[in-house]
Amino acid sequence: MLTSVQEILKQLVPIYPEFVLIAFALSVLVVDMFLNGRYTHLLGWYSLIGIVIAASMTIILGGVQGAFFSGTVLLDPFSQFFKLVFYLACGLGILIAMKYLDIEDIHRGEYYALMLFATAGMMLMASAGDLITIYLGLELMALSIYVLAGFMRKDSRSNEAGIKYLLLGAFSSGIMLYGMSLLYGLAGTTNLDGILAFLRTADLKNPVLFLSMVMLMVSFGFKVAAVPFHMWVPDVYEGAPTSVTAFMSAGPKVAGFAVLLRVFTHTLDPLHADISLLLSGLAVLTMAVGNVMALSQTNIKRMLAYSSIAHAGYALVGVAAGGQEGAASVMLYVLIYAVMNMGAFGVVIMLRKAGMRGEEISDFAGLGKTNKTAAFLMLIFLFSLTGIPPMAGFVGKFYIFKSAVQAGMIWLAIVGVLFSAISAYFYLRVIMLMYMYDPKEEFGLVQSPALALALAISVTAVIVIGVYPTPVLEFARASVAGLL
Amino acid sequence: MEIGMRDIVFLCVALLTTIPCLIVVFSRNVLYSAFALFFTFLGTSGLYFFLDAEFLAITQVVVYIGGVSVLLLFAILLTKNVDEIRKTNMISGPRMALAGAAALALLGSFLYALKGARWAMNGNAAYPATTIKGLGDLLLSKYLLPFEIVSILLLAVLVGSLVISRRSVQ
Amino acid sequence: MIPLSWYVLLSAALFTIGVVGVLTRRNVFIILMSIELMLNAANINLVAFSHYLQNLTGQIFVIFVITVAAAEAAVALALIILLARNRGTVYVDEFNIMKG
Repeated sequence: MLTSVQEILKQLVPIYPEFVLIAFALSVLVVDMFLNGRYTHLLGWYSLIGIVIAASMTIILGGVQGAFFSGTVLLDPFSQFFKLVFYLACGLGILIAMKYLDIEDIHRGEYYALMLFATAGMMLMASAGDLITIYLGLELMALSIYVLAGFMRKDSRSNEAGIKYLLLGAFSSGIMLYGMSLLYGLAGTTNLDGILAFLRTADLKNPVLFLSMVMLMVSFGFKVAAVPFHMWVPDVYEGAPTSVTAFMSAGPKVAGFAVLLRVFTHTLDPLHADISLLLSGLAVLTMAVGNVMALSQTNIKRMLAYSSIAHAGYALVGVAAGGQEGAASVMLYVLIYAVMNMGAFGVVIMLRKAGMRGEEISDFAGLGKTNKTAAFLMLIFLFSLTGIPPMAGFVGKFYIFKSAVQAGMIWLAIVGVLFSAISAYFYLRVIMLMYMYDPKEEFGLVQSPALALALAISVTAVIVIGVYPTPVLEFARASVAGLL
Repeated sequence: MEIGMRDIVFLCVALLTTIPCLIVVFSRNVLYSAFALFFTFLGTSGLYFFLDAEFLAITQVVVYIGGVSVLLLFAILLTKNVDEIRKTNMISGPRMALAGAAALALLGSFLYALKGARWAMNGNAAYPATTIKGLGDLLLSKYLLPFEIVSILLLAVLVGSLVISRRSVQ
Repeated sequence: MIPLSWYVLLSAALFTIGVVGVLTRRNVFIILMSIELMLNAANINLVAFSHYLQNLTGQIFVIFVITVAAAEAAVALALIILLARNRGTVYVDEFNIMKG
């Protein structure tokens, strides 16, 4: 009896991190029932413990590599890098949510359970070795987040965000599935390595192959909110609870890039020339629409939504460039993006308190006078989003554009730099409002230890990576080596 | 090429699948759409029988017709707009044209791509005569992990839909 | 024996009709049903390939897709009912608190 249990536990080793997260999610649900609505923030800290344990397990498992569970799950440095980004996004997401949920009166244990479920889904996406695992991980993540987006039951904007996100997500899943089904028909297998082996010998001029590749690209375009598949993204980002928006802009997008990199630079690598062409078109469109539309926004969440679309465009430049350098630069970029974006949302959340929504850009007027620390933090995050040295955002963009130049796509790098110059306008507008204008009225900011911790983590990461990016970059490079 | 009984039945099933499909999408009455969806699902189930996928055919009936469609009908009747169901609900103008163009492009590329398609095909001696046993074996061996993920997914969905649809605690 | 291309053509037709539905209709229910049609199309493909390949993976995939589709419908309908209660409409274009 005991030996069989040990045997089972031994086989589970490769998915221990996911296992831990799910176990914590389940126990959150049970404990929540007994707490009966009191001390819910303790569940937040409890979930954070789960994330820390899972993260340390991922680090301990760093040496283990290979395919497990009949090739449905892969353990490699690539997936481990992304898992660490997900822990960071989920941890920051929980930290900035605690106080906010109280203010919105939606503080429930299920929130944390769903965050953990979503994170487990993303982790499975990053380490999937089979189309089936990709699909299921994606749906586990997406379904949890649909609910989170509609979590404010009484607020119809939140309901609307939930249903719009769901329709968009389900539509893109339908396209993805169709693409996958064609790929299965061609290759005769759903295993990613099997598909790669098939493509190495197959006739690449096959139009069905091209069709299925385009369908996969379209669906992942939806997932990372690339133009022209971004339609409802600003609505969703605006309507969802701000803490969920922050998580949504980091987690699922990064997970989308994990799958994008795995499928397009590993599995479909023989088609690289076509992919690169299509993706660079997509990247240009995305950067253009994201940055230009952001100029005219008056709501900070909407502005950050368009900004996150634009950032997906920069990252797509790296995917289009491809190769080891391209993939590594994308990984570095999504890590930096996740941290700085969560940080910016963390400051936005401080403005939300009873009787004040704090979502208008004009609400930032005079923040530099009333609350110097918050304004300074926002300044750092916005500088980083713009890509001004010595913040991390600059480093991220630098390596993305460098990889594009190395891949011989100098024009793409130039277009990217031009659009990030445009982006300076709307980021700096907020900074100007904070420092050059007088506050409309006296207001204090919402503060809590958890929020302070989240902001401290993200600001440290933004500055440290900005000043000394080498270790992270080397880590990304080493992680990508096994992929190609 | 002679046309056998099997082909005629296939054609009927295929029509049973596609024609209600058109009603689902183009009918102005949501209830008609929902009922047409029944038939599409039924037709799909028939196709699965043709493809020797008995288990899926039954699952299709149980889950889609017994579950999803009924759920849809309930939801339609629960939302108050039943009396204005007849309200025209097509999108007019540029978006319609865009959708038409997208549909034509899609159909065109399908036809072009499928014309010369070469699918992977082989006769597998180990393929079981009835697929149910094979499916059970695979689900609990090769695809054990996806199977577990689905169970977690269902739990997450259960919790999630309860959270958003239950009435206030107070 | 029915040729494989018939099934693939049929599923292509279903998929296209579904896409048209999603793009043109603005009733949430119909969009949802159109999405179900798209998933159904993919399922037909998977089962047909599975049959002609004599490989059960496709059918396994379909089992998962059916499960997930049902789960998705459950969440979607919960959200729609909530929205209809709060807002009184099931037309996507009339969700007009946010736009632009």
